[in-house]
Amino acid sequence: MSTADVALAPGPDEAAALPEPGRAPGAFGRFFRSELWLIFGRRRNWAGGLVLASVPLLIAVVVKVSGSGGGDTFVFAEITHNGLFVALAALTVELPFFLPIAVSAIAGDAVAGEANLGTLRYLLVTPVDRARLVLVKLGGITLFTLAATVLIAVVGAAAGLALFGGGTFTTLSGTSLGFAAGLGRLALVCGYLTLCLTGLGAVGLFISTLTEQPIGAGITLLALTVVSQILDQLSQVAAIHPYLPTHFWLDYAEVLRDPLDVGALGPGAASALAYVAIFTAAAWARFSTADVSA
Amino acid sequence: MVRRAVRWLVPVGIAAAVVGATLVSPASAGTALPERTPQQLLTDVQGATATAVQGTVQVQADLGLPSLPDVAGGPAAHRTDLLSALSGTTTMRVWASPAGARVAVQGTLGETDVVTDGDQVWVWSAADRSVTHLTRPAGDPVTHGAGSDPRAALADLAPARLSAAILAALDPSTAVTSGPDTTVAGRPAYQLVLTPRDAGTLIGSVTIAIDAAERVPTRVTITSTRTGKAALTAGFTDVSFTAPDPAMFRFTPPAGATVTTPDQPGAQSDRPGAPTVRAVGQGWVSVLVLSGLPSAASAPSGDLTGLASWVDTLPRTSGPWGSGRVLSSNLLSALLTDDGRVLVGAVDVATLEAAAG
Repeated sequence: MSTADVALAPGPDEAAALPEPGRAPGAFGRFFRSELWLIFGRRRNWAGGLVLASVPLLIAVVVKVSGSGGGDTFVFAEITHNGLFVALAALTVELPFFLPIAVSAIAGDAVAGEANLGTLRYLLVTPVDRARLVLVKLGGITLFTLAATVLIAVVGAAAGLALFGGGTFTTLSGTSLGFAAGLGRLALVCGYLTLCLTGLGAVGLFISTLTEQPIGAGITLLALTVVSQILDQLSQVAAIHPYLPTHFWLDYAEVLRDPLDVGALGPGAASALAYVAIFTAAAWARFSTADVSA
Repeated sequence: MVRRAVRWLVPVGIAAAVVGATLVSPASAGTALPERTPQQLLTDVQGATATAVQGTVQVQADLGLPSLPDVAGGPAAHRTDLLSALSGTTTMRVWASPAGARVAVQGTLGETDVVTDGDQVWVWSAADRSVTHLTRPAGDPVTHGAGSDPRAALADLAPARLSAAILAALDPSTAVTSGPDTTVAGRPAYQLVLTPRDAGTLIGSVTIAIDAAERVPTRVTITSTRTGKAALTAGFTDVSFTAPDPAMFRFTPPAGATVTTPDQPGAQSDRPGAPTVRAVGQGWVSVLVLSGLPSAASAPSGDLTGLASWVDTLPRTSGPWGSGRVLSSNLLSALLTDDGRVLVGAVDVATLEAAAG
């Protein structure tokens, strides 16, 4: 790119986002804060959060009214014994589709959204390093996935504890843990899923640098997620399963076994980190050489 | 423009490094093990002093079986974890010491556990939150017979147990050789290769990896003559020979679980009409003939209905010996005759039919 492509006047909307020239200390922090405001200050993202939070409420109320059925999976069957399982059940239900939708919306918007609104060139007028911009966008996506999983977990746990109470936490291995240990396991599930979804978000960030259409980028990422999950079901392509971005997601259930073997989360964590590294680098390679005209 | 292309080398390089790291198997132990003859290895195994083991066992099966019944739900759902060991890859975590044993068969979002402290056996199934509890009757003479001690049986984990059974069956029908040294669970291991001399068996070879330090079998691989590839591999992917916490071998049913206490095994064998077993043929081509089995229709509970309907999907065959259904896999074949006999062997169906006649 050449700086001649870039308009020189900062727009009024983005004035707050501009870091001080000359990379003053704290500029990165201010840039990051403005990115967070961009994500968490938007009304449409609040609406999305409301959808995510409604699922645990729905599960809690339905199980309370009609009881758990005989054919329920373990996580659902445990709800009536410990309300924390509402959070786990909600995360299980939202993992294949709802959470990827949320990540797709945010990640697809990351760069393409700014390009589409015409604010990207203003961002780049200031001496903000493009690599730094990619990192700030990745940080915003990471905090969003953390917020989304924690939101589901907190709403689920609160609703579950209110309707079903706490008590002992039964593991998949049939042992009983104390309430605090159960809460710790739930936190570990949230951490693992945040990492997995951030891996997906990094792919979205890269797609977002390819286009100026945030919706197109978001839908592309969502389609990739669904295709990945379909391929993961086909035994004929078992050789590529470990490379699929969604392959290790269900490994969060390893956290529910006793004794806890954190090493079982290793492959999933390594896969997610590899996706983050590869696609953040790809986003940087694409974005740092792209002509920004809009 | 050159610089633009160079930047793309960063993500491509990371991707290549990641994929490369997953494809390159960990380098086998650099230090060569001293030579050992098959006889020495067999003696080593019998003289092994390890009494405790804990680790992860992976079972990979390519048996070529027809699809198994009832994976999703229904009365047989709680058997899913165990049945799934017959197809694909199953991961088990095992802990064993003289104080007891615990085996956790892991499924996706499920688990089946067998826990014993020697006197009591608990079977937990997460799928239906059920617990089966068995207690050894007081003064049972079985206590002194090592052979049917559940503790001893479980302490001989899948690979170890499989090897012991195979070694016991060794006779002049088998060529026993040393295979190339290998690495199991990151530990150097010897390999013992058993090759049947009988041409009629489905078993191509049995390879037993023996841990070089502890002299304990840590992996068994059985190849099929039908596919020429491994049909069954059971081995540790992670192993340690330190004693697990004995608290692992006690089990308290969780709140809300269904606990059943079935008839004691001792009482069952006294029942009239217990099945009889006899062997036809010798060595690798021998066929086991079971008769007097309870038919699926008269099974006491609904447990067998799923299995019975699955049997009904097997192909039918008939001959001078009568008629029945056949189950053929890459390692074993079975013939279920209409007159209530079951013939099983590591042979093809024609050999079974000959034995039925």
